[in-house]
Amino acid sequence: MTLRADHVDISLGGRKVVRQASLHVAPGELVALIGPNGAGKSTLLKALAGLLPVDEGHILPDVSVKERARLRAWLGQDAAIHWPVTVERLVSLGRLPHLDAFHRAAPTDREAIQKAMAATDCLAFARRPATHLSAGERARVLLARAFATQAPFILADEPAAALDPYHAFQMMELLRHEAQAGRGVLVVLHDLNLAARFAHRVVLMAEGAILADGAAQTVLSDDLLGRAYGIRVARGDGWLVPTGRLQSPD
Amino acid sequence: MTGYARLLWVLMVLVLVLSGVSLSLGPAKIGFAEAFHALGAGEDSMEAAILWQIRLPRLLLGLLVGGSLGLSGAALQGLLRNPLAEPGIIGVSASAGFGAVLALYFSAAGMTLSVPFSAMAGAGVATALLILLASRDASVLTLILAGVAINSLAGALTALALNLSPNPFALADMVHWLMGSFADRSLEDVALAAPFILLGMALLLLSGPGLRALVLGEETAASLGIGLLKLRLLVTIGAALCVGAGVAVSGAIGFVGLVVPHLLRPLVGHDPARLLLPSALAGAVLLVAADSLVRILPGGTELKLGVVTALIGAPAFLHMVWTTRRQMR
Repeated sequence: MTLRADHVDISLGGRKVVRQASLHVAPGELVALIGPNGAGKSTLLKALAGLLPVDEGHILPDVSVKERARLRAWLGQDAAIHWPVTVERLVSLGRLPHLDAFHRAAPTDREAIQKAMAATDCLAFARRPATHLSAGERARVLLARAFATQAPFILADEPAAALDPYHAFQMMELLRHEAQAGRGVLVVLHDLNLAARFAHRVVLMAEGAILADGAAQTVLSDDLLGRAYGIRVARGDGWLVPTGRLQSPD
Repeated sequence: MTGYARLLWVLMVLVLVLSGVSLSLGPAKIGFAEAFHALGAGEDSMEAAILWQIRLPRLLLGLLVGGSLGLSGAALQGLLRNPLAEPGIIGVSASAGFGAVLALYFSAAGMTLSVPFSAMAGAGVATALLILLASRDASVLTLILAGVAINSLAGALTALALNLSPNPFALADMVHWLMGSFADRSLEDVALAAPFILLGMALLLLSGPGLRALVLGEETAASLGIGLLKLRLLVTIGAALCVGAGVAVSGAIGFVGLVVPHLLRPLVGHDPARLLLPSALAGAVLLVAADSLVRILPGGTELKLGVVTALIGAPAFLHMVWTTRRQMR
């Protein structure tokens, strides 16, 4: 089963933000969704998570709200933590789609929570208030919450944006590991190097449309990056650095 | 036994003990043992009459109103993700207060209108407005702002009624009623309010999982399969039923819904779902205790319950704000 958007149009506040976008994520692959600010990446990701309605086209598989919550784990951009609940309780929220009518946790739920915290290295501070963590710890806890759902698909919106290089790599390694374990992972990224290094496939968006979809070396070409971002890049063995704007005077 | 279960047991024992205390208090010297005997006997004795017609309604209202205020406060704080939210925030209590004042205004001028019925009508109008807003997928902020508007309008209309009051007696009636009290209420008052309050409490108790998911914010809660619209309606209607019916029979009683969840939150690990049931029990404990206190206090005039809860609640709340100011930053 793949998760796919099929020729979708999405409007926000009456303005068309995504046009005729199609993309898919298969089990076992990590797909990076990149593009400049305002390209519609987050909007498309939200539609795939079922958080936004589409004007046209389809998000597949088309299932009930409850089923959707079990199928796709969503990790939002700078997600909030509103009360100082313990890390363990916060992670346990990921099991919400699986609980019965009485919201009692079964042994499988507890096992999933422990596994998610172990995978993300959160066990050491499981009893601490989730609001009193460093940015790196916090990102891991929120990731553990998403892992705890054990959904076949994980959708993450810039999970590495607020992290230093060490923690950004750690975050991407964890997501990549989930992909290798058989899940489909779709990640919105701003860091082109992270996309090049960790993604099995890169999808480039610009002005609401999909510009390119393929292996990192073909999508991150000078031509495509110039067209999407309006930038020049320098590149070497396994790295690339933006060096300036195309229209800039120098 | 987990800490949560222990907390529930302690609160339930406190509810029972204070209920016993409440039934044994009053100008007539009927102690604990006689009170229970009189309640059970059902004969036409003086004791039975006092118990059934004066003390029992008072106790039941204390339990219902206190419990529903504590629960409403906990649920609204969870929905708005704000520890400063209280049941009055949605404007239903002020509207119910205006309804009651209007009835007092006209009954003083010769017409007979039942105060609680009119108060419930006032609460109903405000509730209908809130439901209309909430069902159009209004944000939480819209709900709060609508509450502010409803509060101001109901407050202004109440002031207008006081301003135009036909005579000093009507004015005194209205002012006293607005202070909030369980004195001189009958079992009919209880029967009128109880169905609304119990229904409202049932709705609020269903909101637990949704409120818990809201710890992660609205978007993530929605991604976990929580219907945000349904949750907003559940909490708004539940709180409106509780507060509207409560105010209709007892007047405005502040600070219970604000302080009780705040006090209990650290004891349930700040979990908004686990906060609900203890807040209901503790609200009942607090209000029955306060209502017992006003009957013990010496002096000719019985203090109004709403005055006492505010006198105790406001400084307690200020103290809590002071001690938790770091967390709120």
